[in-house]
Amino acid sequence: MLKNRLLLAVIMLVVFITGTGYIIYTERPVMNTDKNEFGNANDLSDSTTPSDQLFSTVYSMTDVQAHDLEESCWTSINGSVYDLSTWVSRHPGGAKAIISLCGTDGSERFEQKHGTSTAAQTALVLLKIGTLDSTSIATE
Amino acid sequence: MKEISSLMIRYTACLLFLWFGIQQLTDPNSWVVFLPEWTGYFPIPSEMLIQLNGWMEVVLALMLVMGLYTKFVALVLGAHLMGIALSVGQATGVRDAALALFTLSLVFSHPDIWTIDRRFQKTVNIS
Repeated sequence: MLKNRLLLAVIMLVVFITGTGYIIYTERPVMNTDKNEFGNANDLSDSTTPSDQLFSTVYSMTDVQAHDLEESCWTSINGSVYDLSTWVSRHPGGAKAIISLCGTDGSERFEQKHGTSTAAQTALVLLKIGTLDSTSIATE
Repeated sequence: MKEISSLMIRYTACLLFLWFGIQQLTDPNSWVVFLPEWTGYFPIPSEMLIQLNGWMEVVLALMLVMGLYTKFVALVLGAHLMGIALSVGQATGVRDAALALFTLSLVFSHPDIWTIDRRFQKTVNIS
């Protein structure tokens, strides 16, 4: 009977590990090829390398301003454009701080709050979708 | 009567964790807001964290319903829920703490006669 109990426990452990692996595999962060700066990674007809395509998507300040909602929240920080929509509910400092940045240039507020924070910089890198057209700022 | 009360506690705790576990697996976005602030800096997405937590609760709840290592499983689930209760705080935290203590009561009671643990004990006594 001891063997049966241990066997059952081992089966449950295997089920747990398999399920955990499945969740990690299916929920792993993948690039959103619809809108990120890499474009379609499977399209090899384009002769440019991924590094050439990196940061090639340029957005104007008007594009950023069009995404001023919690559900679709873009901001520009130090010349880069970020989609913060998925970060709103995850921001350790609360959602309000992020919502206030939606559709605006958040460079100053980000620098004030997280200027030297490596964790914040790392989190931000994952949310980058392109660069900001510097001329669009002047015309705003 | 003692056996039935123990069985009821075990099955009720199992239902509780199964329901919450399945909810977290199927709709992780609704649970993200309950994550403590410090998990925001984890190197894994919040949704994945919620789903992994839900999966753990489902597996442990299934072990609880089978009565497999009941005391150990109840200890893990109870301590886990107590941690959540302390993290959430306020009225929800009080409710969760009560549910955690309810689950932890299984640690201090003998497994009922319908558990695999008890069947194992019987076999040992006979032999």
